[in-house]
Amino acid sequence: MDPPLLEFDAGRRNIDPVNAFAVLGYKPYRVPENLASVPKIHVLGPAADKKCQSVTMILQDLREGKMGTYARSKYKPFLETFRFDVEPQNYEEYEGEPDVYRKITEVSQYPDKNSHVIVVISPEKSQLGGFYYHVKKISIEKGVQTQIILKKTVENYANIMNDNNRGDFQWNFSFGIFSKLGGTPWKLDRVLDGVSAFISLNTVTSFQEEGIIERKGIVALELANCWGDPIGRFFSDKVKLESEEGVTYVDLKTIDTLMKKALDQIEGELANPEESKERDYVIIHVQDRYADSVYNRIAETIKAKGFKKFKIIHIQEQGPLRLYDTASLKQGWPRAGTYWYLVPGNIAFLYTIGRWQYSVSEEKEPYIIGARDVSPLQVNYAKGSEGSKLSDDDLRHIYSLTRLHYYSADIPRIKMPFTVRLGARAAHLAASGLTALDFPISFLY
Amino acid sequence: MYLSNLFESNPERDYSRFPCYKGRLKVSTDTAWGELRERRVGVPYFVADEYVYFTDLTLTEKGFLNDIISGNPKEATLSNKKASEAQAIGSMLYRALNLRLISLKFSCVGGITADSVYYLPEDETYVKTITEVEGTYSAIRGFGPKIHSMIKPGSISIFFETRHAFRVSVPVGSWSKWIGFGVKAAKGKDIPSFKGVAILDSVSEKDGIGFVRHERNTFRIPLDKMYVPGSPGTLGKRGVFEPMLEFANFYEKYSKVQDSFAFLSKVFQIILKDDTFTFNMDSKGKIPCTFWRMSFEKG
Repeated sequence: MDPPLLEFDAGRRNIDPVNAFAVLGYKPYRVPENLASVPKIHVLGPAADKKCQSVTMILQDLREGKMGTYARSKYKPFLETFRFDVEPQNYEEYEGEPDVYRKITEVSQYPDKNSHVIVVISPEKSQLGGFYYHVKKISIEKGVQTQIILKKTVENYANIMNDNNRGDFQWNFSFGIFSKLGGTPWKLDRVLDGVSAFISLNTVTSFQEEGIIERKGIVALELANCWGDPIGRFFSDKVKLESEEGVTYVDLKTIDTLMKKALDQIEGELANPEESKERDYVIIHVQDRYADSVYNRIAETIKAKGFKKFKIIHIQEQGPLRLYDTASLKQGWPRAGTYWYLVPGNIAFLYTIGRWQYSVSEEKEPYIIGARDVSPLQVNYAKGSEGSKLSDDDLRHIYSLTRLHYYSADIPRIKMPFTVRLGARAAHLAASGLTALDFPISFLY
Repeated sequence: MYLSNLFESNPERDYSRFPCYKGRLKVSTDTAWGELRERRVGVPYFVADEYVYFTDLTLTEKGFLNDIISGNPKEATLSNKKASEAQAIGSMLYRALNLRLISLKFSCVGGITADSVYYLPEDETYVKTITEVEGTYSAIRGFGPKIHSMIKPGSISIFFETRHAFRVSVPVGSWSKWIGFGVKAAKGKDIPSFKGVAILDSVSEKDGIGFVRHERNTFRIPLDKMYVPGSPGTLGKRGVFEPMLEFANFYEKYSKVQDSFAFLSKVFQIILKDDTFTFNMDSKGKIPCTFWRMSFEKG
């Protein structure tokens, strides 16, 4: 299937943001409207590590641009790309997490806090409930955007990366900052027809390492409308979750309560609820395999709420299919968008990443970069209303939803629908103590 | 054209009419499972619904199952159109395939069914070890079958996929370096059993005992029955997780095999003949199962 077309400013369309911004000079679909002043980019680094100060180089390039040799590495100045400038602030050090919280709290008291982003350097990758999750939790609670960047990345940027790598990096970094400031870099060029809403169901079991284990289950729903625009989320903590032979059992009362809230929200968003509830599908994406009792309860709740059509679709990120190209005698990388049915109407393999035309030269073969193992999603039909089955449209919707990760310009490398990926992130934050629900999805970037 | 790691069953074998034998249990299902495991039964079997199902009559020769089943076994036919019978067929296929792969000199860690990792222990393509003072860390890079027994009535699909497992081995005299880490105990008589991991509190090397804490309980575990699970958390704390993961995921800079398919191609050279593989469900070769490698048109 063809890649989804994305719409930028003034109705311009392209399939690839890097090509659109770096080569064709397109501008974002929507710039933030609520900025009170030139946005300030604060930066906090661990006091113990002076090398982190080289992050100022990243911020300088963010503002001034970084021109590599290749089309995709020509990152233009922020102002030229996004139509407004940013103002990096002086580097500040933190001794521990309380200093980071203090800074977030300080910024939260500014009347123009929406015009501030705090870049926080993390010494290492965080486990569930670690530094990243603590900072994000406070960030959401205080309504202050943070961008966490690994110390290793800062060091690599200063010492290892060349200008091509840096330009490439800056596209992703700048989109993260732009989106956190309220911008929308692109949108889908057309509605995902036949759908009233997408719901991503995520469950997490967290382990608290205090002598030994306390189990705490989180159930989270992330919602998006038929444009793929986020419309809310609901979650519940301390839920009884059990896994047996790869199947997850969830407390059915919780499922029922959350689904009712989600469906009320969806109904409130529909332009013509009665018509849509009769005609369109509620699509539920799940990453884990759930017990039939969970699927049955979801079905009952949907029916009770008057939605006539639904499908529950299980998306397995690491599908088992691998291909070998008999012509090149190498691993097979089909073009992104290729799919096959293993069982028609029931199981499909969908390559949301794959060969992609990065080069602006038409003569060059499409290729893929940055991935050595290209595997398809395995998409399984789990349950649905009478007469429904897995269809080409379902696969097209999944493919389209992978294109809405606004914190990365490099969307051809993104495999999972943003609803599923960010829904899982919200669930992980809930497992780390977050209780707030009502926040823009950009806080999850 | 793409060759794949997907294999479909030969249409001549109809898995909606799969031949086997069944014997009625005179013990509980759990007891039967336990006994068959304990006796290291070498032919494919499955226990469910008051019966033990198996594919080779040699299992009942010399009264081997007399204390588990009553009467003589009967011929039975299973259909993969029914969920419970599809599970039985799938499980017996896993066991038959295990025997076949073991006969090809592969070793197996992680069980026989979907979590099995097959590898050649002496081949550095499959195993990477890092030795430190506190122990030896092994990354096992292997493969395993994933059998879909119910998705298509009458037929079976098998994927061969790459898998990995991490192992930690602690030499005698080094257990004190693991105090504060999570440990597990091997199953066995007189060994305390607990769910998940316990924290190693202290060690008496002289007595060969480790004292572990699990929730509010403290247990004494013989050191030769205690092991450190190769979890990412533990390996990360020891600073060996990244190189081991790089090996397992084919991300090493100078890796001899460039990606998972190159790895699987080496495996296929051993297990395939003319892009098919066949294994027997019984010792007399009466129930051969053949699977064909699937290819895909270029998209």
